[in-house]
Amino acid sequence: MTAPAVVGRWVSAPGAAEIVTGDARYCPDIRLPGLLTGKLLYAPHPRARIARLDVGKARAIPGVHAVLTHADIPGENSYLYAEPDQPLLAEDEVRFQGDAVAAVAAEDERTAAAALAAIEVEYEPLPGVFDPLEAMREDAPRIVAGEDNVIMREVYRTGDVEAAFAAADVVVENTYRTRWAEHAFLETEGAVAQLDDEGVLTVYSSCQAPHRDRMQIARALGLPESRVRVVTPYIGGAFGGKDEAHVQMHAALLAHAARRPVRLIRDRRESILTHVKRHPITVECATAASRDGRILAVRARAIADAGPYTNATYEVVNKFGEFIGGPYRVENLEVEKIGVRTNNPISGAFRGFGAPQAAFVYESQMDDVARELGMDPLELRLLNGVETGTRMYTGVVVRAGDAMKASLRRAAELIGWQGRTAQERQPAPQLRRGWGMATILKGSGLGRGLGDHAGVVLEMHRDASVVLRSGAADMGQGIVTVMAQLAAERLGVEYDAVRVVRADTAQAPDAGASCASRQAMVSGNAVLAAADSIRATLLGLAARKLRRDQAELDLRAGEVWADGEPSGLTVRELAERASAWGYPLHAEHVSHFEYPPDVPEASYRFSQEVFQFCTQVAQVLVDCETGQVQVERLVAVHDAGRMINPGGVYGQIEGGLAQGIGYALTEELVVSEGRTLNPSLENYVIPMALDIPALEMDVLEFPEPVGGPLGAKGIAESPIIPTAPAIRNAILDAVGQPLYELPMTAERVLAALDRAAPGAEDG
Amino acid sequence: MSEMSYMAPERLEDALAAKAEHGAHARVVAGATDLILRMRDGVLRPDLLIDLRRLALDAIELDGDALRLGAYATHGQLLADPLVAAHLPALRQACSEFAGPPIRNRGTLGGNLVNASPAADLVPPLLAYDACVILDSADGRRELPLAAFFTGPGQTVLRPDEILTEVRLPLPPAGTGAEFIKLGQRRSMAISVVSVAARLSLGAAGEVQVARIALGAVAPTVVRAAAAEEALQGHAPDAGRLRAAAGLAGGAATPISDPRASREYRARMVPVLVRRALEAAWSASREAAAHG
Ligand SMILES: Cc1cc2nc3c(=O)[nH]c(=O)nc-3n(C[C@H](O)[C@H](O)[C@H](O)COP(=O)(O)OP(=O)(O)OC[C@H]3O[C@@H](n4cnc5c(N)ncnc54)[C@H](O)[C@@H]3O)c2cc1C
Repeated sequence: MTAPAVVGRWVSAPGAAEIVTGDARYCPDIRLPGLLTGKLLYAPHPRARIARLDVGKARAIPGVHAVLTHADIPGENSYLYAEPDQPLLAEDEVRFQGDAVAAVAAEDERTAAAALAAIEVEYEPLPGVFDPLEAMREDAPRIVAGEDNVIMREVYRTGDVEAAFAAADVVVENTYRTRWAEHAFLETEGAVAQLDDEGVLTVYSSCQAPHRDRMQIARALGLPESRVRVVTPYIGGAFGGKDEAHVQMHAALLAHAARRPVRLIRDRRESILTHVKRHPITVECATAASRDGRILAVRARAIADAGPYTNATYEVVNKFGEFIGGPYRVENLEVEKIGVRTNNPISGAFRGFGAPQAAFVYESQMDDVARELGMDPLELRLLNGVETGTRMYTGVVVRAGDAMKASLRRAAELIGWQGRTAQERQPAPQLRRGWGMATILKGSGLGRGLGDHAGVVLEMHRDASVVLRSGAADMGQGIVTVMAQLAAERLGVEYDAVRVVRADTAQAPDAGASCASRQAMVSGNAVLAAADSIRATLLGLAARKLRRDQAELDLRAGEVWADGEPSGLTVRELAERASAWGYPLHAEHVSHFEYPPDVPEASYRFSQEVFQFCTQVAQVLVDCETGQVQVERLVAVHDAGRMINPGGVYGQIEGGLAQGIGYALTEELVVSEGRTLNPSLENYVIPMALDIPALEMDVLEFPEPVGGPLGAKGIAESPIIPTAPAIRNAILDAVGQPLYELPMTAERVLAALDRAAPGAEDG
Repeated sequence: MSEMSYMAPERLEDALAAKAEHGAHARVVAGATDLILRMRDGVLRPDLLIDLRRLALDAIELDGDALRLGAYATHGQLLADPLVAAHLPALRQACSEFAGPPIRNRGTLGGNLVNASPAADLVPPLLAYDACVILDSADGRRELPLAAFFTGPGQTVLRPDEILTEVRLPLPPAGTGAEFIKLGQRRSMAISVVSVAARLSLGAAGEVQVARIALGAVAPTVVRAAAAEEALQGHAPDAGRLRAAAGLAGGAATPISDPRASREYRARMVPVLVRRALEAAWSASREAAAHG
């Protein structure tokens, strides 16, 4: 086959013009006749018994069309990301600030607000449990009645950890803390629900998993799934924060009760207070090394604060453990993973599922080990890095693993690692400059044994235009673009000949959630397979017409090619023929991500095996009087396996770096006794353009043999993962003081400087 | 909930008459960048909004030996203005670090003052330049030193029937240097964690004739660091004296903890920022003296 024509090209996303001009319609833009405003009443206490709940007065207000409590839910009163332990509407107890107690639908915003105000609730505040360690005690109050406060506690062990530590020349042991982080997607959570004459409930949903939303909506309403349709309008970002459903069920319940369409949008404050956050994790980690720089063993114990409900805690904490050894040949590893309920904000999926917390720990440990040994951090990483064929501590064999060291070397080259010491380290008396790196791996896909599949429907019309229907939600990450490119590539048509229908459960098969960097891989494979079946029909027709062997023909840019030349026969002519003669140019394919059967028995559960490798290097300037850190340079070298849409790949990296700078330095939800004190984007400090240096990015292509289409791997999660530890290590290099807590706010940097003995900063 | 009325009069008299009639129930609206948030949070529920946009209150001009800044001048206008650049560099600096371009193009000088946040960025430089405010009402006009305007967070001496129309500053004497430093959690769109403005006007012998140091976000209102100012008065500074004065500035600060920073951090930053501001102001004032 000839070189790809559409894959690898910088194309603009379908709808890009609408998005830029503001014409693209997001949930809040949907207008329907008779549309009501929905609102939820949230708990004013992080833990309280509901002694009385009376909605009579609210129902009596003119213009109020529905007021619902848990008693009005016809189906199951729970979310179902994992365990059904989070109610849609609280019954006898509220367990965190984001629990909803009642839902209203009214003629307009004001009436809805008045209805909320008229709902009478008597709360008996209960003492909350806000410290995971306290929650783990036998005598701690049960956060959810009948459920253990410890959601999960697992130990994974490989090798002989004791012996390795006993034989070590150097042991580095530290305790790390990370905090809640907020996705801060541009568009807050929202849904619009409408019941039609045929009793079908259509829900427009700003989400990551339309088919799972459909299941949850049907379950809450006690309807068959055949009567529920979920449509995704344009979605303004998600990052894991819309993986679990949010207000879709409430909007549907209200529309069903009111017999009028209902729009329910969380405002920013509600959004921050209610949806899942990145898990705060406290980690004790010890790393054993030999004098010559080999990492001999890693031991870690992690306690993650889940908030009251299970949500994605298992997945997050499990991924944390899966990556705690980093992209290194660690033969002896033990990790204890604990997820605990509290009355704090609920934690869940956020770009990287626990891998960013793990990377902060293992990449900080690597630099601390390097210091202890007096070794160059780059050398230490190169010495211990995995390669193609390495069997990881999880039991997984790394395939396209040479990307690891290649990314390290390329990043070092871009930043000028070798020449860095010649740069000015102290440009002013109070300023210190430093360089730090972090290199990571992150798996793409749900993980072994988790049934990772996606379906797609593809159809070519008689004019050779193509419609692609997929259940994969595009939240801005660009899966729609990637799918259109792959289809165009294989069908030999131009990129813009392919129209992708935004995910709609009435039109497309389930593609699973857009999470875990999986869609380009899994849905991408499905598109290729479906396109190949149509392609075979087209090539069969072409072979007959041109009297050539099918294998000698190719489809490119709207034409049939033979012997590397256009033949004059167009794909359109073939499509017309197919249509005239009744050959279907229609294909549906469900692609299952297949894991090769080569892991040993005692391997890590649900391991991911397609790895995104990347290295980032930061140059920082630390103001030793104020503790402020300025990121002066940020180099990022990522392996994408194969770039389908380079613009999308670079876009993911840019966004991840920006988010990573925030996670590293300023983003912290300040939570006290279960209450978030800064639920606004004025006070939850995400970086702005001036806080982000010109990003220096490069993308490597080490095709993954058992990965996605044409060797592609996911790229969505890795960009945010190394940023915080790279910055941390740069601060360490600049001031000689290690930090063990995220975010590294000015105050925490100053505190670290204070720990230094006077004069030690020059050492 | 009652409906709200809105007017955008063309003559100041009409605005003042409406203010006289409705008092606290009427709210002046300038750029609305503060007002909207307060209305959203239910802190303010005005019945009438009086929009200043047609009143041409945005002039920035030289009037004898005074500079007059219209209350409706936006941060963007102040930032672009040559008079401000020439005479009030610390104010210009505050404008350049104010929010980001969209807010700077809407937010106004008057709004920043009347909103009376202890972290308001234009206040420290204006205090350092000895600004006065002009308050108009149907009954007449008052002129007050800016220092006497604020009474607490969100609190001023502005009467319900008054509108702030102008800020007036004496032209700083030759040999003046000034600096504004803002410490925020990010480099734009930040609410000051601590801010400092310092102004030094030197005499012929290099002695400090006027020292002004104002601190933002460390007390219920923006405050002057009087002890630090006094320590400089009449002396020809050197690095040691500036440092010593900066050390005294902390006495004026009574900071609190909030999600942006702890009380301890704010207190610790005061002498650091004051020293830096004084050093920069001193260097600028010597340069000005040399060229003046
Ligand atoms: C995103 C964002 C970023 C911001 N960043 C900063 C920052 O960096 N630094 C900073 O200091 N502030 C900042 N602010 C706050 C705000 O922008 C400023 O205080 C601005 O100067 C307010 O001016 P305005 O014209 O918008 O005031 P408005 O909101 O119109 O009015 C504010 C108050 O003053 C009253 N008022 C306005 N003008 C007059 C007048 N002439 N006479 C009598 N009363 C009057 C109004 O009735 C109201 O009570 C920010 C705000 C936002 C939303």
